[in-house]
Amino acid sequence: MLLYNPVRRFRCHADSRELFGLFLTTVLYNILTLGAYRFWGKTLTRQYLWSHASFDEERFEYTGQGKELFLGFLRALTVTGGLITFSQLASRAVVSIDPQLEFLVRITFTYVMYILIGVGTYSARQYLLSRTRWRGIRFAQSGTAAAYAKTWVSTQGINVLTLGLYTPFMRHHLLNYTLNNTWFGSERVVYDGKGKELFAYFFKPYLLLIPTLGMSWFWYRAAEYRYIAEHTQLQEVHFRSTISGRELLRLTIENWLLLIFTLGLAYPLVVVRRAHTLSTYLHTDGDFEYALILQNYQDVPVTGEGLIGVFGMGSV
Amino acid sequence: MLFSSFLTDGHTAERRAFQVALGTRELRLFDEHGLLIDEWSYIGLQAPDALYSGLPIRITHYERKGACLTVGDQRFLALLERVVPHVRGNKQQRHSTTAWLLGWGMAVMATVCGLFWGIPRLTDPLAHVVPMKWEVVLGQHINETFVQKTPMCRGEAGQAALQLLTDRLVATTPTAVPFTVRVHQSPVVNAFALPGGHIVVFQGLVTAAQSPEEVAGVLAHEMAHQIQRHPMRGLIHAMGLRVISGVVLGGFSAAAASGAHLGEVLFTLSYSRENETEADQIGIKMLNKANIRGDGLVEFFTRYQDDSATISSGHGAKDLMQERLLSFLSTHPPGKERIASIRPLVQGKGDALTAKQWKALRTICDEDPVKN
Repeated sequence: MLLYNPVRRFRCHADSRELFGLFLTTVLYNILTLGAYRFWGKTLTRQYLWSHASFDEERFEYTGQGKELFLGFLRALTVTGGLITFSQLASRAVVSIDPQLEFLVRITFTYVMYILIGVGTYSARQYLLSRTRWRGIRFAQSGTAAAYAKTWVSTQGINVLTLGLYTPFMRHHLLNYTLNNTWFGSERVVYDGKGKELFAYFFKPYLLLIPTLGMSWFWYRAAEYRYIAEHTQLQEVHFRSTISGRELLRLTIENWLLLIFTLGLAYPLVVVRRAHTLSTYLHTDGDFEYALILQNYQDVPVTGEGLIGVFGMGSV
Repeated sequence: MLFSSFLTDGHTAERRAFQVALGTRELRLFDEHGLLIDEWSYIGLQAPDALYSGLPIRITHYERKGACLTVGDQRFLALLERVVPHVRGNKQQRHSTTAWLLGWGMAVMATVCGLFWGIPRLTDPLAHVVPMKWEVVLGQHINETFVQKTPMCRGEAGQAALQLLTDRLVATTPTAVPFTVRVHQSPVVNAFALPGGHIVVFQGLVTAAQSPEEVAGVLAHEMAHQIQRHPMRGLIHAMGLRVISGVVLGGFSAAAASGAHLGEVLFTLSYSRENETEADQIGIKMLNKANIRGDGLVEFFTRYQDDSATISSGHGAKDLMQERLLSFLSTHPPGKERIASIRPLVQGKGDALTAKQWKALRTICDEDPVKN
């Protein structure tokens, strides 16, 4: 590639040995505090990872605090706990009228929980971006978690009705909302992909899902990843990924094996391997007009990503 | 000594190159022409992430909110620390990485191993502390939830024969477990023990058995599970493991947790195999004391060792789901070693049931089953 620029690229400098030390400390404190330390441990881990990821030779910075994650978790626990209690009471009340109705209560409860997963996913990202800085400038996620959850629930519904054929459109809609609401300071990320075009990459792997025992999925994911990168830009900087399905499959299988045979202890290594691989294949073309990128002074969320933590879906 | 550095001001993403020097009471910032541009007093200076070795050093100052000075030269931090000891905040000094990793690694491994070793050993005393009354209630609950969905057989003569056999076996051992044995209509060749003395035998097992001694053997084996309180121990054990892996790895990610869970399942399997061996041996002793031919159990296992699945196919998904659940509750992996370990212990010579009783047991499901 002629446009390939060896300097302006993402790099992961993390050392899995160092991260493992951090991981072990966290595990130990988790045991001592019966799991309450996890929020602080997660924060230290993120501080480490962000500090060891760079673009254009400038490192990222994580400014979140364990306390925020803890409070967010408590808040989410109250919400979900309240919901569970309410649904239990409701189903008891309803059973005395007609046992058939209990089914309805359960369906409603599942539906609400599903919406909350959407809300949680988006607000987790809002928190994460608001606590991420690069060159002293904050990232941000505008838009509302409710709007995202709406798209999430409806597209997921269509996806079920179409036996998964809607997947690329669903992914596109969700990404469209997420990415076009992502800010670096005063600059908005622009994503101009199309669901139709993603579908073109999707159809063949979809048909081959069963014959390949699901492995064709990785070819789609790689294609999707490349497509998204190619259709994403920030100012005049364009992204480009060269990851292949084979590479993604290899990475995933190796990482799973590592996790299984170490009872999860290889997790730090898995995180670093993943970050290394993804950053190796991610390239950028073009230059930033740095002087035009101003600080983002919008309000930032006060507590963080509780919901998604309660559902056990949080990452890193 | 001058160090090259970059400054971001927190207002734009632009960064400016500076030369930094350590003054007596402040950091001095010079531009490319050597002009003094700014001074950062040592009081209020911080290097929030300077605990990572080998990375450029980031310095902030509380009077210059948002501004950040990045110095690439590693010697700078060492010099800065001489004049500003508090610069790393209250983060501890790092020890030698290898020694530190080894120390903590061993401590964690010891803890994890201790927990995985200790839990199975803790479950036994714990299981005996749980009052039998609770166990009976718990067993009833599980029974109602999972088992009673398959109809129960109610041939009276068959049930009486089964009761007789149960009583004979109970009489061989001092136990407080209140046994209830029921046959349920299902083609599955299996039997299992729930907490609180509930023993569920599937019709498939009675049909597949070629002699009453085979049924007696399986029954004694299940009763031995109860007497050793294996179902309760199994529950506590599984719960304990869950808690450990939740506490230890929780909060990292779903992937790490699933990886750990797979390991956990492997671990539980090996634990349940120990229990099977124990139940075999106690079961055989019971058969010997009741003077029932123990080769029934051996024959039964021999017949099914090649076909360990023993689950006949061809029925609905719901049944299959239930079977999975049931086989989760108790697994009976027959094997050559297992048979070899039982065979020498067999001493009993007598019959388990009379021909009439055996016929009644085999037809226990012929009457209209009880629908629950």
